[in-house]
Amino acid sequence: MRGELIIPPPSAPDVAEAAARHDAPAHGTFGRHARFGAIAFQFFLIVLLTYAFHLESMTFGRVMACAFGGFVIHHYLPRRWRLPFFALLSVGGTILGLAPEQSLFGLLPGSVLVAIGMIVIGACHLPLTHSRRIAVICVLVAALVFLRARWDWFPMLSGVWPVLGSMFVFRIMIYLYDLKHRAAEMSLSRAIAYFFMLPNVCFPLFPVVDYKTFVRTYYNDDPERIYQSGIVWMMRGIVQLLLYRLVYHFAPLSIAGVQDAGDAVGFMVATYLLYLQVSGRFHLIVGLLLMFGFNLPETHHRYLLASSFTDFWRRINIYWKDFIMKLFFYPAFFALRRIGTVRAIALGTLIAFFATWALHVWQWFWLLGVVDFKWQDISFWTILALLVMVNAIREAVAGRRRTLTKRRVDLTTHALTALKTIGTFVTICALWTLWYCGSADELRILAESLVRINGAHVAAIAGGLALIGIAGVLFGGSTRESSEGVAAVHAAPFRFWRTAGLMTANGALLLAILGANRVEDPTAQRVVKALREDQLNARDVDWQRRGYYEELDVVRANQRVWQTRRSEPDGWISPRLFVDREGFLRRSIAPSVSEMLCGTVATTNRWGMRDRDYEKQKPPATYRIVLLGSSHEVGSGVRDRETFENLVEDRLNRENPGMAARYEILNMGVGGYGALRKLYKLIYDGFEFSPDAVLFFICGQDREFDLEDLAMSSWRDQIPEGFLQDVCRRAGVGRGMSQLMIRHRLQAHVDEIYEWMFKQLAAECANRGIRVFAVWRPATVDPGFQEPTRRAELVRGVEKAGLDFIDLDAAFNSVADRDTIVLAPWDDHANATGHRLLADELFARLVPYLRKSAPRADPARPASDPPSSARRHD
Amino acid sequence: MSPEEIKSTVRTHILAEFLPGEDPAALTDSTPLVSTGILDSIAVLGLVTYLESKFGITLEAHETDAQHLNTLTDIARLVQSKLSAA
Repeated sequence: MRGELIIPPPSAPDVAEAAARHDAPAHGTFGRHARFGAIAFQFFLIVLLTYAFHLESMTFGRVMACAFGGFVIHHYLPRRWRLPFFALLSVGGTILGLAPEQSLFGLLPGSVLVAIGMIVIGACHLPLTHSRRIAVICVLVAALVFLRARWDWFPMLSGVWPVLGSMFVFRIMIYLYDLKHRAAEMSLSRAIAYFFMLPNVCFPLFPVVDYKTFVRTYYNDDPERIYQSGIVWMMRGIVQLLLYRLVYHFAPLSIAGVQDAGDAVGFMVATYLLYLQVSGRFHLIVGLLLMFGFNLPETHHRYLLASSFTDFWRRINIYWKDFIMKLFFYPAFFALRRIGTVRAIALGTLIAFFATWALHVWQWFWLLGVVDFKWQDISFWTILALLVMVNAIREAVAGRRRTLTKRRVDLTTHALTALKTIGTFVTICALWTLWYCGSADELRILAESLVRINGAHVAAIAGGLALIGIAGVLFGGSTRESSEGVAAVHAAPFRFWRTAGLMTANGALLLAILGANRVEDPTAQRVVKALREDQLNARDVDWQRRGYYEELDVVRANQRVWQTRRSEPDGWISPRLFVDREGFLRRSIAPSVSEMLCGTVATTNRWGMRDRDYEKQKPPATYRIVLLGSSHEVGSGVRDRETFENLVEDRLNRENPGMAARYEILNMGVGGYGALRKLYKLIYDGFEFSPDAVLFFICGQDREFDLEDLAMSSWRDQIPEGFLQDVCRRAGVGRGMSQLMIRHRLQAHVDEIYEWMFKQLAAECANRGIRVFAVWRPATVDPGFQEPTRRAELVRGVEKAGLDFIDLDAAFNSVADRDTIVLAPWDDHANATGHRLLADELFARLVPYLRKSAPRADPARPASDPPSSARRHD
Repeated sequence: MSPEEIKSTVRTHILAEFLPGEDPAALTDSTPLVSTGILDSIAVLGLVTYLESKFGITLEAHETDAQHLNTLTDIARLVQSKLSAA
């Protein structure tokens, strides 16, 4: 290879010598094997944890298992074979990790990625001048950018681009820089290992590892110490990822639901804490690399306890900071220093942050295939740049306190540190919120909520800030800044068995948490479920669901939602299945069509029902039931004869319970309808069919759909006259207001809206002598853990209105793995099995009311089994 | 200029500029300065400016790292290599 360097840097450790020294059996053969056995056991425990907690993806689980086997082999290989082995393992992992199916054909995407990567690496070593090499690389990158933008030309390679981007877009810049300056040794094995690093295939967001550091830290210390550090980091990563899940599922992250100062502060802190996912992943990634001898420095250092903005910049994503310093800040400073040191620092800082912003846009292009200049990004980086610049100038002019030895610190210094830590934390939370919020209205909601403060809020906020200040004093001291390739500075002696014992206990404890799932307490069950399953929270589920019916904001959506949605085949739902409709209903099902509905053809009758044909006039000796529901009741994704509505109708006619000679269930469900639109559908259309009974389906997503419907209708001035208009008036919502603000303001009125709606339903039916049942239909999956709360809200309304209640909550209880009853990863509608289960439950609950001698239910009490679980959640 | 002289000059500067009041004996030739955060990125730039003006040398951006500036020994070696190349 050209450019193979190499002038050994002045203080570079003699890696080979160090490794030989460290590989020596310093503790005797038995002790060495025992320690390695303990390390392998801890690594095995970590692999087990990744499976048990479904961390990241299935691919990651496989990569971890592969890494574990590779680690053992790697360790026992002669030293000169270790790096080539790791390089091969990384390439193999990349190819297998991108394989969508277990066939030779499935290996194509990974092979294409590796081929492209090898071409790019080869281009770096062309026998040309450095500037000409860069020109060649630029041409290659331009071609790849074109292909990335046209990813739909090669759908099979759609998974390649984000991974290729994460491997090359930043590392190629570092590699070329170090190649130019001959900063570290170059070889084919090193290049392959560097670009295709084993876990990279699972992590499109990957730490920007420095090439020089990668090479210079390879086995630069005692292997046992390096491995054990890797274990510690991976364990820290797992803990952070689990904490992230708790924040993601339980923190108030839905801005529409923020009502007071407590919610607002919770929202702001939670947006910052979501970063735990990134730091957890980075710990896991770098920890894994340590297991193969790359003694890389830490990626994050107690960033929540930073005491200034420069301190924050130095602690959070240290690899990124080093990358920016190396390629942008220092070169900018050296080019500008003739204007004066302080001015050059100020300008260099601004250039560094501009580069950070631009490179983030570049990174997101590779991840998502779209370029987006978001005002949130620009605001965030501009403000942070200014804050860091002011801090940097202050440090350059006034200096900052540095010590060689531990000093006695007085109370004033402690208090000052605490205040600075609190100030930095609050400012960063505010900045993060700015970054996270999608519109000025979201910020307005937060500002409005912040002033709704009471004594309890003040006490909680003050207590939280005091804790941060104390933590800053106790644990916030930072000695690290650089991650560059220097031998680790060991502040404490290496106590192998103590660390190994602690990590083993930690792993065992985490596994034991899973056992808490058997505890009866629903809160404990929810927590364990949130920890164990990598699922979307309520907000993102809502985003995903609304994606069926409204335009999804691609850029702001959770990346998992977006990527899951991207998996949805074209034409999953045919728009021709629906027709627009004036007024509050907005749309209906098109009559007499056969169109695709969630991957299956759905046939509609002449009345615009996804159902068989019926005469408008009820036939004699027929008991007619009108069913109101949403997309699940419509039978999205199952064949016409498989909908639970048709299954129940067929069974009623087969096993006639005695109420009439024949039974008809008219499915008047429409996808996307909340409870309010179901009511109006009944009033506008349903009564025309002279039903004897109404099955009014309610479910957990009604609340979101209802708020969405009210927001849309208010925006279009289509709210039905009467109570709903009155509520909107009282809530201060109206035309011209954003939908988000309308939803936010209506949140406080949900209970009264439901109370009114169910009473209206009861009255409309009673006036016509029609029996009405409110039917609770459980979701197939409840990733947001919202079902119990939402069910309780609805059941309260049902009980107040005195409606008969049919509870299908137990329909899916026999299903251990709920994923087996959904249509697809991107679609949680019930499949045919799910519909059969719903049909069985509905039939069993409905039949007692259809017997000839069936008594009318006591209107003051739900008609089916007492909804005990609903009461439990009241 | 000998390495010892360079070290002595730089040690005096670091103690005065960045570690006022510290025990001079605590700053040895092998005390890690960058990797321990004693010299952060801003301080490193100040040190670079000082080295250039004091010894009449020119440093490059890629030399502003822990590899070249982590200890007094590293700094002396860098300065001396620049002086001998001049």
